[in-house]
Amino acid sequence: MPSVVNETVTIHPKEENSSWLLEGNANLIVETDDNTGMQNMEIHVKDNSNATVLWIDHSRNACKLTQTIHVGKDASVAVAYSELMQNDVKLDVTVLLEGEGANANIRTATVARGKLNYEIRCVHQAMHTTGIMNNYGIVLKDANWKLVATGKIEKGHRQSESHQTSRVLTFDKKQTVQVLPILLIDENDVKASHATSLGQPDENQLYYMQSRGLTKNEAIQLLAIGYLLPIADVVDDETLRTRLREEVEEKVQSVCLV
Amino acid sequence: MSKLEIKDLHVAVDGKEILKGLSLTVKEGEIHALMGPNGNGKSTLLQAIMGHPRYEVLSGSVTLDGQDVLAMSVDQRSKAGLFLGMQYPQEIAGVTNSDFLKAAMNARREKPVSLFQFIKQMEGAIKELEMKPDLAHRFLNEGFSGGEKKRNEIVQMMLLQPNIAMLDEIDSGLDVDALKVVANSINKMMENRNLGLIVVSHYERFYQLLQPTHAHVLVDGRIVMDSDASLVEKIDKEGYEWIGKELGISVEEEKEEPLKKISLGSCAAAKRG
Repeated sequence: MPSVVNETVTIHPKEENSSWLLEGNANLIVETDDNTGMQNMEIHVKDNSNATVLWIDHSRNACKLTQTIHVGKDASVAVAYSELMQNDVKLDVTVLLEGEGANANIRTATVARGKLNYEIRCVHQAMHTTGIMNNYGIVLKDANWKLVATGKIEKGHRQSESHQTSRVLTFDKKQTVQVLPILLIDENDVKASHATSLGQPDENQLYYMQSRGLTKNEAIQLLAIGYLLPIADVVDDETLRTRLREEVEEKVQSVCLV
Repeated sequence: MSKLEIKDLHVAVDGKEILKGLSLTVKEGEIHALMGPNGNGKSTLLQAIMGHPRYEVLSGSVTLDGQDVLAMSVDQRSKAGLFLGMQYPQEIAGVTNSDFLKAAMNARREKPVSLFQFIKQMEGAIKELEMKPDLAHRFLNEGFSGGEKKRNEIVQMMLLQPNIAMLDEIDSGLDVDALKVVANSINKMMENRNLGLIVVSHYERFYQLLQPTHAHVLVDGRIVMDSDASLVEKIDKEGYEWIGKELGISVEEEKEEPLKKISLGSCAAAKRG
């Protein structure tokens, strides 16, 4: 039997497999720690609900998170992943927009330092569904990050929209980043788009910021924080939003980017 | 008493010498109008003083109150009291105006500015420049109209309080009313603070509002004529040709070499249909 969530619930998962039913204004916050290891979560978002699923990684050890999120009729879900640690991570997320009018807003904020492998899929299985995906990250020296983001609209699911943006900021020459934006569209009456950028900070932007007195490192930190902060916008709860923002700022300020 | 001294400055961009021995001294309380046809080195001078990495100083010196500006990094120049209001301010998504300005103010202070003080100053500047109140929360220049970007440069100048400010065509993109608003703010700063200005503009109207104390004409990388504000009016009426005749030099706009057409090769689009 799935655990029912209809308010804000924070869990530090211990069991390897779990099943959840989100209804109403449910916020499921998953905080992983050193003991998390592997997680397999099956999440159902009930018809007409407005839910948030937020994963904040605090683990210093390698971890693997697999989530399958089923979204019901006219339900909305915000799915957010905050990865600011130094560990190796495998993230496997499938969002299934199963009910008509379902929509998902998926965001990831990543400071890549170890070996990261993300596979994120948003599958449209009903008409009038919307899937929006924003993956933003900064990659530090020697990190290895592979991001495969897929939007899939199956035949007959008219008037659906699949949009995705991936932006990755690098600072060094020694890192491996692979971003694969994929759109699989089998229906004509839809809207779909993708945008990807990957590279070092823009020289003219840095000069502009430096001309106002910021050192190069301060300028880059502001840019990097700007890449990651949108993660906080998916959260309605003010306290949690502030916490996410502070975590991002603290983490970026603690690493030297120049 | 702030003093910016430029002596025999030679500057190259992409290997081509643009400034060919330029000297100019600007003290606080002075407003210097810098004129000349396009492509003769006005922007190059300002960017070289601020330290844009593309502009290579070949020889000469720039000092601010005796300190060697050319030996400083870009941010040190700003902290030393230089400011450049740019012709094309950068758009920076993800960084809000207020976060950026707070960071810029704190960069030059030992103790961070208090949130109350910051908001008060920022709101005051936004109101004075007659900008929309949501400016603070918008991303830096992103989606701003040309005029909004220019006004935002002046907002930054007000908060950063430089000793020597350089304004590069800060009036282009402003309508008549906005021009007055911007000029009023600049005049107010001139009255209240120890400030010297170098102003590049093509419009007499802006100079009329600012009342420069000095005027210079820059041709082919050198200042060929120094005068007072009357020069501005004469150039507005008669253009630059008479200067060429008087001095026996050629005065013309730098013609950009026409871009060579190249083929990007075939792409997927070419195969369609």
